[in-house]
Amino acid sequence: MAQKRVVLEEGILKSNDLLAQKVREDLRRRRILVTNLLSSPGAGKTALLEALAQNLGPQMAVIVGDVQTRRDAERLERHGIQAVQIVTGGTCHLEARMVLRALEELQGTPRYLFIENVGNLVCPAGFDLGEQQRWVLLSTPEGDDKPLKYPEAFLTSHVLVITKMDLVPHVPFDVDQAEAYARSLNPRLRIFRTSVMTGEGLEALLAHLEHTYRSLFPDA
Amino acid sequence: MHEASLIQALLEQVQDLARREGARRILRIQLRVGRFSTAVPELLESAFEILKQGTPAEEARLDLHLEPARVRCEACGLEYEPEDLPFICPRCGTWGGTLLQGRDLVIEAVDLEV
Repeated sequence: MAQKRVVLEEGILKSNDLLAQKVREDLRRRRILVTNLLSSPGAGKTALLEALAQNLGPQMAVIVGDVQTRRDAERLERHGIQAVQIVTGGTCHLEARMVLRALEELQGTPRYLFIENVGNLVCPAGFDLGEQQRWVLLSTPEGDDKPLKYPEAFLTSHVLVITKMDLVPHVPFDVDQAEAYARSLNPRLRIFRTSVMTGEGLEALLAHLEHTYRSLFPDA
Repeated sequence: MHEASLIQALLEQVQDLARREGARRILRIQLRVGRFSTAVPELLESAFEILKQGTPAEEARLDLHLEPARVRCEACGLEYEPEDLPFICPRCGTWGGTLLQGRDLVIEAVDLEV
């Protein structure tokens, strides 16, 4: 028998990355801004999307991933927006091929498409879904040192949304410390302090979305 | 927890390679795993032992090449290997920096029986 060594230097997620590229190009052509939302379970991804839906209405649509149930999609649909649920049946993250399949169900051309990833701060960070920007959410009850404990999500995101700011008086969360930890991993991270209860920071977040959309599609 | 998905992708990739090369068996896979790659080396190994069964990589060995992180200090420009988090520049004490290396999950080389 003969042996042969092949030097490959190929990413393990090459097939996912190729599909992600397909998603990105397809949605770019259709002038849809895609945002991938990452956070722990319960950090407020769905609540933030509900709050954005109040302003954006049918201009936005959501692909939402959960291990089980259509509950989040139903929650979002109550706000009059289109929501496509991906039930992963156990998988702890979304992959580009799941998004590609969900896109077949998407009707019309929303301006903003949000992908609400499975609530998990570890695994989803490793998978490109074809998004143009990635937001990581950190809720104040989770603790200000979360960026150091789960660095990958913060390393790979463009925006950090601190949620549940209204709870700051009640929980041991030093906002400046959290921001410093997050920026120590990713100096280019844009940070928004928000609360869907008081409305804090939502206007700034909407302005950021609009700005990102215009810089991506200047002729739209 | 997503290591099984990663190993599944790895096995598909090396089986494609084996087909292209007309190989009968896969003997060894060398994988580079960055410190901030999201993958846990031990879990990659155990997922590999289970998922390789019944494939041309059944008897293959998985060698992990653990890649340390490398950070550039944006204040003084020093490139260093951080020991822990947060990244703190050992020369000027500045917090944070740009991660230059340490996110890879890359198949470096594959040994085939042809």
